[in-house]
Amino acid sequence: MKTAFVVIRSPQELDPTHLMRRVADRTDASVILFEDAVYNALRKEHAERLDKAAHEILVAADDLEARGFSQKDLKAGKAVPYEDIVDCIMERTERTVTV
Amino acid sequence: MAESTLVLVMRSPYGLEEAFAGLRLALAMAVNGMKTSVVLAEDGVYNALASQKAEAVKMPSNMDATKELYDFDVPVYVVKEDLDERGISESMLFEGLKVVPASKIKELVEEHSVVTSF
Amino acid sequence: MAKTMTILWRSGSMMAMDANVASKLAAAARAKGYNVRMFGYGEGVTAVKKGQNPKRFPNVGNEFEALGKDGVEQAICETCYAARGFERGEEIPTAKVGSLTNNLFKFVSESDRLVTIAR
Repeated sequence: MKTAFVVIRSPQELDPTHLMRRVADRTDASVILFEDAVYNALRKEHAERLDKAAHEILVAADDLEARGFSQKDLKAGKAVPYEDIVDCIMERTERTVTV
Repeated sequence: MAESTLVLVMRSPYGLEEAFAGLRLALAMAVNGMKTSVVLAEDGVYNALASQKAEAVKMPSNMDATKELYDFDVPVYVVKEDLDERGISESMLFEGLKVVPASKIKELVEEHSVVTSF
Repeated sequence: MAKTMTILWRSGSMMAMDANVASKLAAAARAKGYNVRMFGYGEGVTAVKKGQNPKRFPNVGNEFEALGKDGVEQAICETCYAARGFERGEEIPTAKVGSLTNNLFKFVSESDRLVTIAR
């Protein structure tokens, strides 16, 4: 079942992959990183564990930029505008699970 | 169109509003006849303890809020691995709960149209 | 027929950017032609208080009102609203003070997706 996981908290506060692995296989999992969750895609070990849990990693571009980073800093995933996030939720996956 | 709701409760009782809010949301869906299930996972398993005494902090009881769901045939699952990790044995839980392995979460998510988390 | 997204948000207007995330997500979904409904629960109800005046931060009340005018149906939990000392009439005109049992149930049962924005 294709699932979009919504994450808002930082990797230090919460390992999102704990729940993600319980809910969906990697091939069915997309993850959307908002606010402090964008840090999940910036450090190698966090990005790697996320990459093992989700085949698609979307990083809210404005939240990333606000924190001083850009696409070139990402160790996994891509920085996207909200339009792409909506496509992921409404068209590419069948349900969302907030972690 | 959504025909069923799965409520994931991952927060412990009383420190935060979240767990109680999740149980009330489940009740609101169920009283309307929607198929609804609840999973107590991660720190949410603390809501399953029979010895809890909400009155000690003058809060509404999460145990009572859970048992109210039984009247509307809402199954309430508790994740075994999360109980074990917190040193909680099944004998410490109140009645009516269904202890399940973590692998059941995936199955439940697939069985429901929408999922919300607390 | 366009698909429908319901956003359930539970964070307060100033405690985090969550309400702004909910607002931006709703705006992007509307711009792509989807129907959008929003329900404020718990601390989230503060986001529809009329007359918010943050000096340096985004005004989420204004954002929600603009969404409402763009056809985003909005409701909040009355119990949560009253618990925080708010009364009917203090909300932005586009938001309805309602309940989980009536409004959220209707939103969810008529939706293709439910997105929870909370921490």
